[in-house]
Amino acid sequence: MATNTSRSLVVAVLVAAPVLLPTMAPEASAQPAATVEAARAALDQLYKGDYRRAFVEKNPDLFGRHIAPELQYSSYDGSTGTAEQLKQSVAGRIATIERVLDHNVSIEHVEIDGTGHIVAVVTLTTVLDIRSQTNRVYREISVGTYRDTFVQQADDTLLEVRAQLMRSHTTTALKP
Amino acid sequence: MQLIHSTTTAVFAALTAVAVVGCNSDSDDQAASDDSTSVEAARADLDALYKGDYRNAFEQKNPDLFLRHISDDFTATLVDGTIGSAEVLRQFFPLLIQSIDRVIDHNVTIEDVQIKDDRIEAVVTLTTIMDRRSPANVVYTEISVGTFLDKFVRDKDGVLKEVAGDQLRVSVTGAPRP
Repeated sequence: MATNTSRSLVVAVLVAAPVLLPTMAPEASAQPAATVEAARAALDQLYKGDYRRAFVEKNPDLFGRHIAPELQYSSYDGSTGTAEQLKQSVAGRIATIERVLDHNVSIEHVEIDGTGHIVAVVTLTTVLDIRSQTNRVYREISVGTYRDTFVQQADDTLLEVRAQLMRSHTTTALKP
Repeated sequence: MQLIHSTTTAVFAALTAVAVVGCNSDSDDQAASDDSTSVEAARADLDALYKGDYRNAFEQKNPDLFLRHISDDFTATLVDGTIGSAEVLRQFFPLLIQSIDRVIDHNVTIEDVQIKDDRIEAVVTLTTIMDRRSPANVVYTEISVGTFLDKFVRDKDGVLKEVAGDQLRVSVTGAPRP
């Protein structure tokens, strides 16, 4: 398992390295949303569209295609991760989902910083039935608050470049 | 000390209950009363255990205070169906204790107690608020509320030994230290 992770990391670094260079220019010329409200609407559509559908339709690519290769993940406990690790983690999680009862978002705050990045504080709420490795289905209710940072590409597609987990609350219980 | 006293009380109550039930098997009221006494004694012992050795293990960072109550044939079943042994717990628990920077609260609510043959079965809710230090050396606050079905037997000295711990529900909040 550790070997697999190490190999994945090496692959991720190798893949990210050549991609980082060409993306430096587009990032610098990122197209900011016209207004904060337009950005908020675009984010709402993303979280309630592709991000939700990735879970409901069990299709991790719908999430992964919005993850920039240079994305950095960090958590309140100081742990960090790469785009590749995040995508693998989400894909692994999606594979365990038995049923999505709810997958929703509250967009708490949106701002556009000086470099044109869209910075959003969002709270994701999910209620899922998960099938464990022991084949037991249990209920998981998760509420997590993130500071997510995006760039908007020329075709208006949002790409997430940073994900910071600021707070998480997870309840696991036997399925009612 | 409180535990020993409570244990003695419970053993005495159990012995008394057996004798009284034997003499008054035609008295449902009396039997019910004695059962109630045994359950209350067991509840007092559990309260002393959770607020004694189990809490002290965290506050004094001494895992042995907890582990000495874990029976060799102990099994833990998590919500997801994962089953752990006493050996796994003995390896894992000291690591958990090591990661604790500060214990703000460690408490228990005993929801229900039953006595089944030689076993004491208790539904308990453990509440902990701790500052923990992560592998990245960041201190964060963790609030945990977990409900368990814990099962105990008494050893020959009357000490409670946990033989099973079934996790029924757990809620964990992690956040930067306020």
